Order: sequence, then structure tokens, then C-alpha cells
Amino acid sequence: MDLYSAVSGLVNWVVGGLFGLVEGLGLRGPVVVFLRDLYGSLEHAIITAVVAILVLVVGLLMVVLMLWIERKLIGRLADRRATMLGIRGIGRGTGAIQLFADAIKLFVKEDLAPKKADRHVFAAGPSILVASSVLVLVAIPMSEGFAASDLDGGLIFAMAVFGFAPFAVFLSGWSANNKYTLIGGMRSATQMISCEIPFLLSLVGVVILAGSFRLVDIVHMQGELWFIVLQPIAFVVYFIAMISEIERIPFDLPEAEAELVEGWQTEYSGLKFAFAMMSGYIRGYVGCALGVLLFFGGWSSPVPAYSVALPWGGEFSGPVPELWFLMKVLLLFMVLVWVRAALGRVRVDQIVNLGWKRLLPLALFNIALTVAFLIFAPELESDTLAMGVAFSVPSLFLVAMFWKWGWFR
Amino acid sequence: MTQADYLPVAIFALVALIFPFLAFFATRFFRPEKPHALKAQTYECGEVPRGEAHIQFSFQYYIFALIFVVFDSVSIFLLLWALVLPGLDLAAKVSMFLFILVLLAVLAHALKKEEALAI
Repeated sequence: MDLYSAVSGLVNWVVGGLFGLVEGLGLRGPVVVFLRDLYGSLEHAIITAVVAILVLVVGLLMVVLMLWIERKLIGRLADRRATMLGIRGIGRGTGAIQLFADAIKLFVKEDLAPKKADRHVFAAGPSILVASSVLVLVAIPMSEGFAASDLDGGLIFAMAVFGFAPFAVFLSGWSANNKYTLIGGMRSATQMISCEIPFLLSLVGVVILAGSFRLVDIVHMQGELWFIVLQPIAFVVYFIAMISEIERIPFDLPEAEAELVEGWQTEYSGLKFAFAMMSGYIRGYVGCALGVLLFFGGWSSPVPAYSVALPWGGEFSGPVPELWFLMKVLLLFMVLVWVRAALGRVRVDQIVNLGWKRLLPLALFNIALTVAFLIFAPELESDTLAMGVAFSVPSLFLVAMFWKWGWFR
Repeated sequence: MTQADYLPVAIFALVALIFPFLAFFATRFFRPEKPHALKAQTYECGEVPRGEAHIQFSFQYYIFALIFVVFDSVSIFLLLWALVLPGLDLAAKVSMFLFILVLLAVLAHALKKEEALAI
């Protein structure tokens, strides 16, 4: 079932019903005819807008789910239970309504701005951040049907919009006229210049193998073998650079709360703080979703095809692809939470050196390895398992040697 | 690729821009407005703030920013090269690596200036 056809059926049914009601009441005139013509010409745009709002709502629900998972899992990893707020009957002891309580609290808080701040830029910063984070969702397909758009350059588009956030962070940090926010904004810029390049270069190997920027094509190419097997180095580079791009521990330098109070968000209160928080999680979702699409086979099922006859008739052949996709995304996100619980924050010079002297050569090395395999062993392409072994064993061996030589220290 | 493919992107961009402004506008009816001179002060851990933050900030890593501009365009170049790679002949495949090797030599030379920052 296509998302667009489902929504257009629904919208046409509702609008047709409304027009039927109006005409049933005997209201016929130039106005009704004009409205009908208007709807006829705008139908496609209206349906697209409804799809956009639907995808936005799904993204926001994922944010709620990820926040809850993060709190509970980090609590367990720190040997405590984390939030347990709940009403009798609705998930008591699970913290199910904590997030809604937080949202309501932030919604009714006073909106403060320092007198010395550059007022307009200060207000625009979080809005730009949220808008740019939300816009990436348009390029992320959850399955062949559930996609807001099907762009030929979907991967490039997602990367372009994804890399926009440090600019908004920098604007906010500068405009607040506070020393902490200024340092936080500058650190965000530093982090962007150190990890954006390896982030982009880690995709080159995947693009070589898939031969397309279309995310649907990239997922289809992983039908037999996920790219994590063929491109293990690319995944490691992607994962580290992605954590840096979404500014989570161990790379959350822009908001290092031990040194900079709350970093670039220090002066934000109420809904603007909520925006800053929310965009971080939307970016976390997008980063994990791209990682799943590029390296973990997207929505394809990880188990071999099967089907079980159900007692009430019909057959069950596994969950819907969207569910597989979301499960993989959440599993990858749980690894991020695990990393957060395990590691401390790095210094600024460490992240710059990591990006330019470790990740960048590693990403280039991976490209060279991929091209060398395409040149010297093109006949392997027919046998996917042999190709996987031929790709992954030497690369893992070389990374182990680098480790032994102390290159990562 | 047609213009119709990008219609969802344009509409989604509108929705994404309207969403934060609408949400912020909606809080107007719920949030209190009690201005106070102390609330409008810049936060500096409870101290009376000193001086300005709109200064000429000394950006320590400017050399990386300069190289970043070069490598950012190179990475897009590499992505496009990767897209058409199977159709290229051997010389085109290999000459890209010569190009990257030259860039890496330049990078190593530029980073000599930053050696004080080595881990």
C-alpha cells in the first residue's frame, strides 16, 4: 500500500463528503463551483501536505519513544530505575507519562531572553535548527510505500540538510551574547569542520557498490548481503562521525555541561529549550535511520522468508517492513545510549585530530580498498558471500594491525 | 528527475518552517509574562556579568577551516565519481587516487603548523 494513494483516498473521501453535504443542503452557486475547481487544481499539493504532516508526526512520535528508551536504558546502565512517573492504569512505574509532563511544563514556561542578546537572531536560532532537522525526514523512506518523496539524489539531499544544524547552533551561540554560548557555538563549528568530511567520505564506498544515490535503490542492492559486511570500515567511520554530527556524548562539546553550564543552549528557556532538545533527538533518529538504510539493509527482513498459517485463516509472513526498519533504528540508537553510558567527553583538540588524522585517512583507505576490489576481482560480484569475505577479512585485519601499531591512540 | 519529484520537498520545507513558529505562537496563550530586570540579565553563574561576548573570538583551528573548504568540495566530487565508477576506464579510476594523494601531501604539510596540538 502506497502512502500517497492511501492519503489521497482518505482526503478525496472527506472532501467529496463535504461537497456532497454542501450540495445536499441546496447550496449551489458560483462559490461552490469555485471551491470545487480550486480543490481540483490544488488536490496534489493538499495530499502532499497531508503526507508531510503525517511523516512529521511519525518523526515526533519516534522522538518521544527514543527519549523514553534513552532515559530507561541509561538508568539501567547506571544501576538505577530512571523515571517511573505514571498514572494508575497507564503504565505505572514505567515513566510512560514523564515525557508528556516535561513537554507540558516546557510549554507553559516563561520565555526569557537576555537584554543584551541580538533578539531576532536569538529567537530564530532554535527555529532554524528544528526546521532543518525536520526537513531531512522528507528524504527518509521507511519502506517502499511509506516514503514522503522518492528523490534521485535522496542521499545527497539528506546529507546537505543534515549538515545545516551547526550553522543554526553557531547563530544561537553568538546571538545570546553570553560567554558560555559563544564558546559552545564556536565548538560546534570546530566539530563540524573536523567530522563532516569523514562523514561524507564514508558514503563513497556504499555509493560505489550501490551505484545510486536513491535510498530505495541502495536498500534493494542489499537484498542478499548487507553493506555492513562489505564495508565494515565505512560503517565505523560513519558511526563515529555521525555521533559527532548529532552532538551526543562523547562528542557533545557544544553543550559540555561540566565546563559550559549548558553550552550554546544556556540562555534558552521554555519552548526554545524544548526545540533545542527535540532537534537533537530528531537528528539522532535521522542519523540512525540513514545508518540502517546504508549499512543494515533498511526495511528488509533479517530472517529468511517464512510463512505460518494462522488459526483464523490467512497467513503470517513476518511483520510489516516499516516495523523491521523501526526496530533496527531503535537497536542502533540503543548502541548510542550504550556509548553515552560508557564513555566520557573528549577534548576539542582530540576531536579535531580524530577527524583529520584518523577518520579521514581511514575513509580514503576504504575507498581505495573498494576500488581495488572492483578492478582486480570483478568476477567475485556474482558470488555475494565470497565477495563479503574478500572485502571484510582484509579490511578488519588491516584495522587490527593499525590498532596494534598504536595508530588509534 | 523532474520538478514534480521535488514538490514534496518544497511542501515539506514549508511545513517544517511553519511548525516551530506555530508552536511558539501557541505558547503565547499559556506562558506567563512577568518581566524583571534580573531575568533579563546575561547568565554568568550568578555573578554580575562582566564585559561583552560579541568580541573578535580567536578561532584556534582556522587552518582546519581553510582545508575543510577544499575537502568539502572534493568529497562531493568523490561522491559523483563513485556514482559513475563502473563505467569508467582504468585510467579514470586510478587518476582520482593520484589527485587524492596530492591533496593528502598538501594536508600533511598544512597540518605541520598544528603539530603543537598533537595528542
